[in-house]
Amino acid sequence: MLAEAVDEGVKAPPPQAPAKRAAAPSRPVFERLKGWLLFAAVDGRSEPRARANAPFEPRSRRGFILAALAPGLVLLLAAGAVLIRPLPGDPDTLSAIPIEPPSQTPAERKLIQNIAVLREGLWEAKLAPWSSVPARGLARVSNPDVHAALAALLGEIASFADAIEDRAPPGVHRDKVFLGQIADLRTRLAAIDAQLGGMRSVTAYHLGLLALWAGDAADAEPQFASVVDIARKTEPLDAGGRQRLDGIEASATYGLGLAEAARGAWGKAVGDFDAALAAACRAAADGKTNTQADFGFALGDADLVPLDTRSIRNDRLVALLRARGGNDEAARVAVTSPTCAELLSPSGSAPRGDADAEARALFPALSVAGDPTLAANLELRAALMGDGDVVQRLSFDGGDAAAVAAQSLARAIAGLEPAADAGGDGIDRSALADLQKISVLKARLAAQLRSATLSEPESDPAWNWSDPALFAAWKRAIAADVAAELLARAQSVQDENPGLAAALYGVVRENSSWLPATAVFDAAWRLNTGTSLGLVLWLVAIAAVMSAILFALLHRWRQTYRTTFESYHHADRLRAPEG
Amino acid sequence: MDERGERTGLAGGGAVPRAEDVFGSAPSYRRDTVAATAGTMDSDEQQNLRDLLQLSRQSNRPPIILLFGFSYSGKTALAQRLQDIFQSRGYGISPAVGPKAHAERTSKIQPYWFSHPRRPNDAFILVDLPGERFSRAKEANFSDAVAKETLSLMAAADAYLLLLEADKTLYLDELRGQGAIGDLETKDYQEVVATMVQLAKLDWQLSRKLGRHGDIEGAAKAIAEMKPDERFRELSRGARASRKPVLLGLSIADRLHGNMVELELDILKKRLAARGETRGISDAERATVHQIVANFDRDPLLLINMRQQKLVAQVMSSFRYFRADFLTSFAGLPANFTGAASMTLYPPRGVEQNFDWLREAARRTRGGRLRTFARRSRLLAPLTQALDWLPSLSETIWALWTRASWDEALRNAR
Repeated sequence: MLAEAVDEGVKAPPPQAPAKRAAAPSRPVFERLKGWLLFAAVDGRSEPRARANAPFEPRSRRGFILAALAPGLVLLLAAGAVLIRPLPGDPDTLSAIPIEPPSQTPAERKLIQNIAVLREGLWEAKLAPWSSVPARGLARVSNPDVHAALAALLGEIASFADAIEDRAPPGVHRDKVFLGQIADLRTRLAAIDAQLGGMRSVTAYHLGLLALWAGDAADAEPQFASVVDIARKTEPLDAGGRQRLDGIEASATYGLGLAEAARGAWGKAVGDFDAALAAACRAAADGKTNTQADFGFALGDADLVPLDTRSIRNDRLVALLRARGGNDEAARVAVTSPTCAELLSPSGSAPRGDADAEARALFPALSVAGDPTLAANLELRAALMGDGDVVQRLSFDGGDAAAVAAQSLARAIAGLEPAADAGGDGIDRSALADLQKISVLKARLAAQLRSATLSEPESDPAWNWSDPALFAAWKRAIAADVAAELLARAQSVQDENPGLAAALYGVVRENSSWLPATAVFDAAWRLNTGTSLGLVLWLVAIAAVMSAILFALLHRWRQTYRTTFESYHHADRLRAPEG
Repeated sequence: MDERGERTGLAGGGAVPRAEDVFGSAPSYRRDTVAATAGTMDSDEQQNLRDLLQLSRQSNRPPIILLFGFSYSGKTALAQRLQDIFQSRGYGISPAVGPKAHAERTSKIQPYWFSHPRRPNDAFILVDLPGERFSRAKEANFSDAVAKETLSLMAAADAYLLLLEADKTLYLDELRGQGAIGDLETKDYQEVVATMVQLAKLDWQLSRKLGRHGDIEGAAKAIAEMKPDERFRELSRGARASRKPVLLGLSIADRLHGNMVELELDILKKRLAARGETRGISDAERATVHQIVANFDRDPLLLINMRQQKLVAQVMSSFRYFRADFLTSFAGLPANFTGAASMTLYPPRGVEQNFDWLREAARRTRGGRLRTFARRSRLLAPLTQALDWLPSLSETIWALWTRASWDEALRNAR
C-alpha cells in the first residue's frame, strides 16, 4: 500500500511488500490455525476485503457462530463417544414387575381432604389433672382455707376425668349434662382463682383443662400459655424445683398443643407436642425416672399414643423404626414407648419421602394387638393404598367408637364392606365413593404388577365419578408414577442385571399408549444408548451455556475489532458528493 | 484549474481548501512565538478553568473530553465542526466556537459545554488543551500554577482526543525531501510527536500518583519532584494501562490527499534510483499509486502504526481502548471556497461517528454516580481498582492481537 522510502537518513517503514505474505509457511501450524480461526470468527470479512481493510458490511456470521458452537458440539460428541453403549443381552422374561405399587396421587389427596378422619388420622388426646396439690414448690397454695377447698375441687375434677376417660377434643361427645358439669367446675375454680389473686399455675392449668373438655379451645389456649410462661420464667431453687418446673412445662405445653389441634392449627400443635416431649424427657432425666406423679404429667404409653398414632404419617415414627432395624417387637416398643433419646434425636435425620412407602415398610414390622387406634390408623392408610389384605389382617374387635368407625371406613374403602353407613356421620359420601373406585383400580394395578401384565387402567362404565375429570387426572398421575418407578428401578439394576433392566424398559415401551411420551422416549433412549435422557439433557444444557458464554465473548470481541479497524472517514469520503 | 486543484487528482479538478485558507496560516516554523505568549492568562480564562476544575470534583458531572493538539493541527476547526454537528442535533454549546483571528492564536485552555435541553445525561465538555500549554508545563518542570492546572485537567479528563496533522505525521521525511517543509519545521514536528508520547506516558504516572496521594496537589507535587526521565518512563511492569478511551485523530487529511500522489511518486522514483534503473515511471505504477491514494484512509490504524511506531506503541501501552482515524473537519467544502466556512454544506459523518464513539466510550468508562462514589470511597476504592485491573474484551489490544494473528502487514509493522 505504501511505497518504501530508502533515502539516506530517512527512517524506512518496516518491509511489508505483498511478496512477504507468501512467506507465511514458515509460521508454525498452530499459529496459522489460530490465525485462521480468529479471522473466521472475529473478522468475518472475505480475505481480499479484510486484507484491504474494506468496510465491515457485509460481514459473515458463519465463522462466529461455528466458533461459538464448536466447543459445545465437541463436548456432546466426546460424551456420546464415551458414554453411549446399547444395553447388552436379551431382556428377561418377567414373572412380576418388581416395582412398588403407585402411591397417592394429587387427585386422591384432594378427596382425602374432604374426609376428616382420613386427613388427620384417628387420634386420642389425654390430659390428666394433677392428682394432688403439691405441698412444695411453685404450685403450692399456702392459704390453708383455700388449700382445702382447692384440694377438694381438684379431687372432683380428677374423678370427673376418670368418668370421661380423660378425653379431650375431638374424641369427646359433649351433651348438655356434660357441659353443665364442666361449667359448674369452672365457676368454682374461677372463684378460688379469684381468691388466690390469679396467676397461679395450678389454677390456670386446671382452668385450661376444663375449657379443653368443654370444647372451648379459645379459652384453654391462654390459660396453658400463661402456665408455660410461668414455668419458663421461674428460677428454681434446687433440683427438685427444676424437675417440677420441667414437668409443669411439659404438661402445659401438651395442653397448649391439644388446644391448638382442636382449632385446626396442626403445625403449631405438633410443634408444641414436640416441646412437651422434650420438657417431659428433661424432667425424666432430672429425676432419673420416667414418671413423675408430682407434676401430674406422666411420660408413658398413654401420653405418647396421641403423638405417635398421628405419626403414621410422621417421619419420626419411621425413623425410629428404621433405627430399630424393623424387628417386630422392637418396632412396637419404639412406637409406643420410645426413650427420650430416641424421641429427641431422630428428627434431624428423618426421611422426607413418600408417606405410602413408609407406611408400607411399617405393615409387616408392626403388630397392633391391643392398640385399636394404631390399628385403625394403619387400616385407613392401607385402604388408601388399595391394600385390602393388610386391612383384613389388621382388623380388630372391640375398641372405642371412633376406632370402630375408622375401621369400617377403611374396610369400605378397601371394598371389604358396603359403604352405606361406613365411617359414621360427617363423611363426604361422594368422596368416599370415588376413593372406593380408586381403591379398586389400585388393587387391580397391584395385581397386574404382581402378574407382570401391566395394562391401561380402565374406568368401569357403570361407575359414576363425582367429577368426570377425576379419573383422567388420576390415570395421568398414576401413569407418570408407574413410568418413573419403572425407569428408576431399571436404572438401578442396569449395571448388575441388564436383562432385567431391558425387560423393564420393554414394559414401558409396550405401554406407550398410556404412559407419558417422555418416559417412553426415555426408555427407548436408555435401552439403545445405556444413558439416561436426563444426563443427555444436562450435557446439552452445559453445551448450550458454554456456547452462550462464547457467543457473548465473541460478540463483544467482534465489536471491539470492528471499532478498532473501521475507518469512518473512508466510508464518509466514498459517499462524499465529489468523491 | 489552479495548481493545487490539479495536484489533488480529485474529480472535477477543483481545489480543496486548506485549513490555512479558511483560518489563516501561521508562518512556517513560528510555534516558538506562539508558545511564548502562553505565560499570561486573562481573568476570563482563569474563571473558566476554575469552574471546570470545580465541576470535575462533582460526582454526577458530564464526561470531560480533552482535545489535545498543537497549533495548526485543526483543534478549533474540529471544535467548530462539532458545534455544527451537535447544534443540528439540538444541543446548545457554550461558549460558541468561532474562528479565531490571527492574533488570537494563544495557548488558551478553552472548555466548551455541550448540553441537550431534554437529555441532561447526554451532556459533555470538550476542553481544548493546546500542546504548547503542556510543553510549557513540562519546561516548568510541572511545578508552577499553570502546570498544576494542566495536570488537574489531565486527571479530570475521561477521554483524550489527540490531534495530529495527517501529512506531517505520515510523510514527515518525504515532505522534507520534497522541500515543502524545512529542517527546523521537521525537527519541530518530531518534537510535537514526542510530546504526544510524553503525554501518554505522563497519564499513567499521574493516575498512579493520584492513587497514592489522593489529591491533585499532592500528585502534582510528586510529579514535580520526579526526575524527568522517571516521569516519562514506560509503563512499568505490573502496572495496568488506563481505561480512558483515546482517539488518535489525523487532521487536515485533505491537505495530505492533495499532495499524496506526488509524495508517493517521489518515493517510487527514489526506489527506482536505488535499484539503479534509469527508466521513468510506468503507467501501471502510476495507476497503482493513484489507487493507493484513492484508498489512503482505509486503514488508518495500520498506517499510523507503520509511520509512528513509537507513538502508537506508547498509546497502546498507556491506554486500553483507542482507535485512530482521519478527522478532516472541512472535507467536502466547494473547491473554490475562500470565504467563511459554512458547516452545513456537507457534514462529514466520519467526524460525527468518531466523536460519538469517543463520547460513548468516555461515558461508559466514567460510569454513573455509583461508580464515582465507589471510586472515591476509601472502603470501596480497592474493589474498583481490582475491577479496573481485570481485562475485558473491549480492549484494543485484543483486536490488534487478532488482526496480527492473520495479517502479516500488521505483524511485521510491529
